[in-house]
Amino acid sequence: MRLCRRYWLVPCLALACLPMAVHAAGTAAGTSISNTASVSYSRDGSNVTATSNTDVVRVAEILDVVVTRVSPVVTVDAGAANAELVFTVTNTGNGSEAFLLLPQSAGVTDDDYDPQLASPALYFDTDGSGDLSGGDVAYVPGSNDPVLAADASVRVLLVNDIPAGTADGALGRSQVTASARTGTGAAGTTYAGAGDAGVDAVTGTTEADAAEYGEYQVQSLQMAVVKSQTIADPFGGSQPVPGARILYRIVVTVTGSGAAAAALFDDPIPANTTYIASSLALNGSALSDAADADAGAYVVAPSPRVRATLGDLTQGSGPQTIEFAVTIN
Amino acid sequence: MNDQHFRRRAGRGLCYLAVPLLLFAVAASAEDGGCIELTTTASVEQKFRNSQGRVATRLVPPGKVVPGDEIVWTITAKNVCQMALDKIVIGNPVPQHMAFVGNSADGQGTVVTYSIDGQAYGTPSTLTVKTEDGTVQPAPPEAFRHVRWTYQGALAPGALASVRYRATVI
Repeated sequence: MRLCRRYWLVPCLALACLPMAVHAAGTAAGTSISNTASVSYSRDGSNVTATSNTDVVRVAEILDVVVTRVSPVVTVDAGAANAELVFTVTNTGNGSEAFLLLPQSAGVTDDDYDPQLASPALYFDTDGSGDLSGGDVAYVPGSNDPVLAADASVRVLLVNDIPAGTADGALGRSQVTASARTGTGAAGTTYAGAGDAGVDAVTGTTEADAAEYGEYQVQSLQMAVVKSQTIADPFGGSQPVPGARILYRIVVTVTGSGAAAAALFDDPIPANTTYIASSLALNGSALSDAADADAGAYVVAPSPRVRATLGDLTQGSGPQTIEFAVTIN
Repeated sequence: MNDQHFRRRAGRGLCYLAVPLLLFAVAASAEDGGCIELTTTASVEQKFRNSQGRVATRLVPPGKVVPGDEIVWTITAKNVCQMALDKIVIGNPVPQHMAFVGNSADGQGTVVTYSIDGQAYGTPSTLTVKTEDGTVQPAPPEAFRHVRWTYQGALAPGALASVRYRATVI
């Protein structure tokens, strides 16, 4: 049992250390690594022990940074103002470091148009909302450069305006560059004494400089809703008299690029009419009146209405036909 | 009180300080009146072009050391007595923030063993760790936290025994 416990500790230690070497920044800059050896020997038959000097190696500071895109492709309308891309700037070095951030939209390659940098163009996502909101602090180079501890990161918002008249489907790129304030340069570039606690700072594999772009895709999505009615009176005619039945048919059609996410159809029952139970249908299939697993529901309160969830609609979805019927009171 | 008084006092203070420092230095060199002078040295490998124009490797004092770098630890035992010494065992815990590099320990005339816990020593094939799922596996080199060199035979007066290993800054 004791043996077991002893060995149990060790792999935990090993497991805890190994991933560190791969993922984290590693031993902190300024750390002193001390080593003292010992010796035992026999002299005149008696055992003697002694220790060596202690040699100390100090860990220098690695300057490394990574910029990661958080936003997927952001869909925008042509002419949209203050559209934001979200990025994370992470200090992948092993010491505390300030980073200079630089926004850029013009001249980023492999896109169809240039978004226009807003002024200011960079904000910290101070309130953690993931979008530009009142509490977010604008970034001012040299004034509030983010100072990040080893492995720490900060979320930034890159804000652009989209030129009016940009073509449907066009893709525009905008990027953020982060560079270590201490210095950048080919891996191994050394800044003597400039690291934490006065150790040398040396650029790592990222060259202490990293950039990442995000994309704005212009989408012009049009949704057409056409409603028609058919009246059947109790006398075989089509007069809107009390007791007559009105069949409503609504056709929803999406055109253009992009998707109408989580589209919801919601139609109040007209005044002076009464919904006919179980008359709701979507694309020819009957929907139950209960608010349940199927897409439709007849809702009584606060005012009578029919609802149908249509999901994410694209041009490829084709026309969606909703039908329901009422009786004239 | 005047300036002179101050100066005199300061002077006396220095005297008091110097005496224990001196004693300490003497004690340190004499060790236990011991026969082995043990030295630990950190160095790093450096590639250079030798006189034949070939790229060779030499050990130099570490300059800037960053995570991922390898340090070569060299431990030298010198017999400073007039008699031969035997049963010499040199031990070194792998320093904190470092991971032992597999197969890197050697020392002429020594047998190298390792330990995970500083208690049980053995050759790499005899050391095991238990993984999270309970299976027992051969210990990876990073799990070796102690290295021990057992010197075979006697160390003659004035002779040096040198051992070394490499470890990576985590």
